[in-house]
Amino acid sequence: MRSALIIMVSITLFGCADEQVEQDVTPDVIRIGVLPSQAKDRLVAKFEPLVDYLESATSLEFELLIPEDYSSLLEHFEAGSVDLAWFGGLTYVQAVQKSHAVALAFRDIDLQFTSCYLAKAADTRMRITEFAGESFSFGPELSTSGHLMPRYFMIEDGLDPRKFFGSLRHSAGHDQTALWVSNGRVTLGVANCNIVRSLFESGELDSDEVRIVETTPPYPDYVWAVRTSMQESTRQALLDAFLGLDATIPEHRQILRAQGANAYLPAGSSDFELVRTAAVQAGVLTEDNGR
Amino acid sequence: MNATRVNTPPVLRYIYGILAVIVVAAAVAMGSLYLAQRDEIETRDEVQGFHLESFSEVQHLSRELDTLRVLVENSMLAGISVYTGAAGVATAQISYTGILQSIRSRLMRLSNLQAQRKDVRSVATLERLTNRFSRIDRRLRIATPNQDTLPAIDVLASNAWQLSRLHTIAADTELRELAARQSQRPRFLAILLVCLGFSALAVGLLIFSLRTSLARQAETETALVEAHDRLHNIQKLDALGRLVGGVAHDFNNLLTTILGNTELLQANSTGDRELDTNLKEIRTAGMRAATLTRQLLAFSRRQHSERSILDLNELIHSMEAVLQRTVGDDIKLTCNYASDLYTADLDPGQLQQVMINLISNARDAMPDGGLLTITTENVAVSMGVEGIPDGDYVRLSVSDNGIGMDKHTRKRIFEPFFTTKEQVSGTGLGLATVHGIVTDSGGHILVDSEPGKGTRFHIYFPRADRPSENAKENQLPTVPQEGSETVLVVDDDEQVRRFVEKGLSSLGYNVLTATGGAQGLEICRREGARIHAIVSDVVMSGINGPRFMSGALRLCPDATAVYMSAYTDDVILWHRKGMDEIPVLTKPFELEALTRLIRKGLDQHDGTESSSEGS
Repeated sequence: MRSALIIMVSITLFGCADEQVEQDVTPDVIRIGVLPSQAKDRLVAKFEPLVDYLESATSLEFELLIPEDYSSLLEHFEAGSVDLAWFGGLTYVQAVQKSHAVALAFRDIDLQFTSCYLAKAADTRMRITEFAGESFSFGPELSTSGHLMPRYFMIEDGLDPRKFFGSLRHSAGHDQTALWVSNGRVTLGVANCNIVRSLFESGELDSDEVRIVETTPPYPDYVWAVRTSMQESTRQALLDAFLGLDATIPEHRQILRAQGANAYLPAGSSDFELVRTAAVQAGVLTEDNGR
Repeated sequence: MNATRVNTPPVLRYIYGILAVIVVAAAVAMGSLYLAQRDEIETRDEVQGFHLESFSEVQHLSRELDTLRVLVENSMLAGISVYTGAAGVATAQISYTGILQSIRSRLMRLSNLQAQRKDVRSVATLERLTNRFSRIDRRLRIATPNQDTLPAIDVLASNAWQLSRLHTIAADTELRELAARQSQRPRFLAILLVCLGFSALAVGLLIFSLRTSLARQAETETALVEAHDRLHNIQKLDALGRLVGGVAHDFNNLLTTILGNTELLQANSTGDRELDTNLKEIRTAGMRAATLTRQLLAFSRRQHSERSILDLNELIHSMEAVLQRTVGDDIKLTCNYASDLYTADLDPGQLQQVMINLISNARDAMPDGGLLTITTENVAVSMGVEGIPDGDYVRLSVSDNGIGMDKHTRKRIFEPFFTTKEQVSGTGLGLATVHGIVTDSGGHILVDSEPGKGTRFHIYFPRADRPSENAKENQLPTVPQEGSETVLVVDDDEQVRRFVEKGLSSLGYNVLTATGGAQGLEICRREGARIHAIVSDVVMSGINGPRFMSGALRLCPDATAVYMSAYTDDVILWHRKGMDEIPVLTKPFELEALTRLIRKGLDQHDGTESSSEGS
């Protein structure tokens, strides 16, 4: 009889081994890590109201962490020193592969992201295909809107940026790309359209100096994700907090506005299939990633 | 031999138990897998059903919220209240009422679906949506929309969007998980089957090796018991042989006296017919007793061989009547003799023994009668037939058409005490004796037999390079040989001594007697060359025959020597060592045989002397 039990137990273990990951961990403090896509003080101003709201909506404690760069966010998340992270599209698919990240929520605008190609306002060329041999700048290498997706669409259109442009460089952020175009350091640059628009709106970018030449097709970008080890109830509480933001409530409206959103939507792993494909094509992700 | 029965030991039963448990576990595992799979299919259908239906309701809800927004926007633009509105806007009012009603029932349906499935991911959002709508619904029923109405409807639209996404994501996630589990199932199944297969194989091998080793152990034990039995039998045989040898020695001495005296009485017959008949009876009985003793000695193989060059045809021919009597009337005996048969160096008595044993064996193989054929032929063996060295042989074949033997029996028939006959009838020594005699004679024996196809024994005797001595023996006179020489007779058996003394004296010999070796040597020393022949027993108390003889022949170097033996081990030993060329007369013997040997020795001696004198 004992043999039978051993066999049954082994079968059960065999059956579960692959599916079993660390579960049901509820940290005392939820550490939030955000993608350093902008200057640190700007990010703090943008995220502090949200963090306060999450605290009140979930009765959990939170801590905001702004890493030095994109890859250190990934490292923190992988090491478990970040529980809730705001990833860009590419960093998210990388986190899925490395640390079994689970998409939680994103802004309504994140589903319809676009990247804008910028040139001097005086330049009369209307399509990027006319910029052959010119100097060009992507955003940071791990940026979805500044590098990965524009590159993906270029290649899909049969244009290899390494061969097409005379020179190719990466800026440290979207605002820097816009600045480089503005001061003529590069002839053409590509940056996140939302940021570009906000730069125009804030007057940091002069529409007399720089103009949008072309816009990419829409793609998803930015997502809030948690570790798979996070307790399901905590995960659900966080999601409900995000989805509960009500634009008709003034405080909520303020938070949403700071995030540039009208509402938060639940996010699923399928939403980032396109980004994943682009990442594999760019060679920054292996084919056999976990979704 | 008893058939070996291997009982199932406890360890084997334990292994059988494990095997049974493995099989049951496999069945349970497969059954569980099947049930799990069925459950998963049901769950999948349920998940799909719930999420698809909810999703569809939410899509409708979104469109209805869009419509509501347009209506609210229009009425705000028109600056009219839906409920207090002026005439001519009845259509708008109807639409308002209808769309609100539609949204209400839509939310009710979603709530009902949620109650059935209790989806934790969407329940809070649906509640929020329902509560927010209730507020708008209440307001729109009692008052005109204000500037907050449109943003509130926008939030409802966002909530609906959230809800539809929650359902698609949940369906996607759940189905993906199910698919992942299902995709792993064949692997688990394969691993499970492989594990179970290996376990079963291992257990099977274990059982097989255990069974094999148990069977081997049983076989070894049986062989050991058999070997022990054989050893025991050999020891018994040895003891029996010693007993028989001892008895035969004394018995033969007695027979020598009986037969010898009878012979003397017959020689001095007075013509009394009744007395002659009685003497003949005594002699016949004595002869039969002598034959019996010889047979006893043959079984115990304590018989020393007196080999001579034989013509097998002649010898077997002389035995035909005896052989036919042995096999009985139901068996037809046919003898095929080869012409110009080679001679062989054999003891005729032993050959007779071989024939009797083989014939008896054949008789027992044909309980209902049959054909028995004895064949002699010349055979030249080349390229080694079954281990027989190349050369010329006389082949003696004894064939029957009896029951035959299987391979197992065929392999063991020459083992002592191996018998297929019932314990009372067979001694198990017959064929063993045959084998012993044939082998001792430098011959080979082969057996060819199959069940139901009879048995053929082929005995190969090496060809002798001299002509047969049978004829020579036959030419010798059968009457006692007279003489006048001095003969010294040494035997510790008084009766034998007296018979020999009387017999030789009656034939004219001058007989001196001694009761043992010491007295015999004394006589030799005293008489010296006057003694022409010395006849001595072999086994005597004090100085034994050979020791006495060697001393005596030194004292009387010209004397002819003859041993009288009662078939003891010592004679065989002395002969085997080749230490003695002195002829042995086996007891009981007739006076004629003794005088023939003495006469032969004396005459040869005379011949040598005369030839040396003549040279």
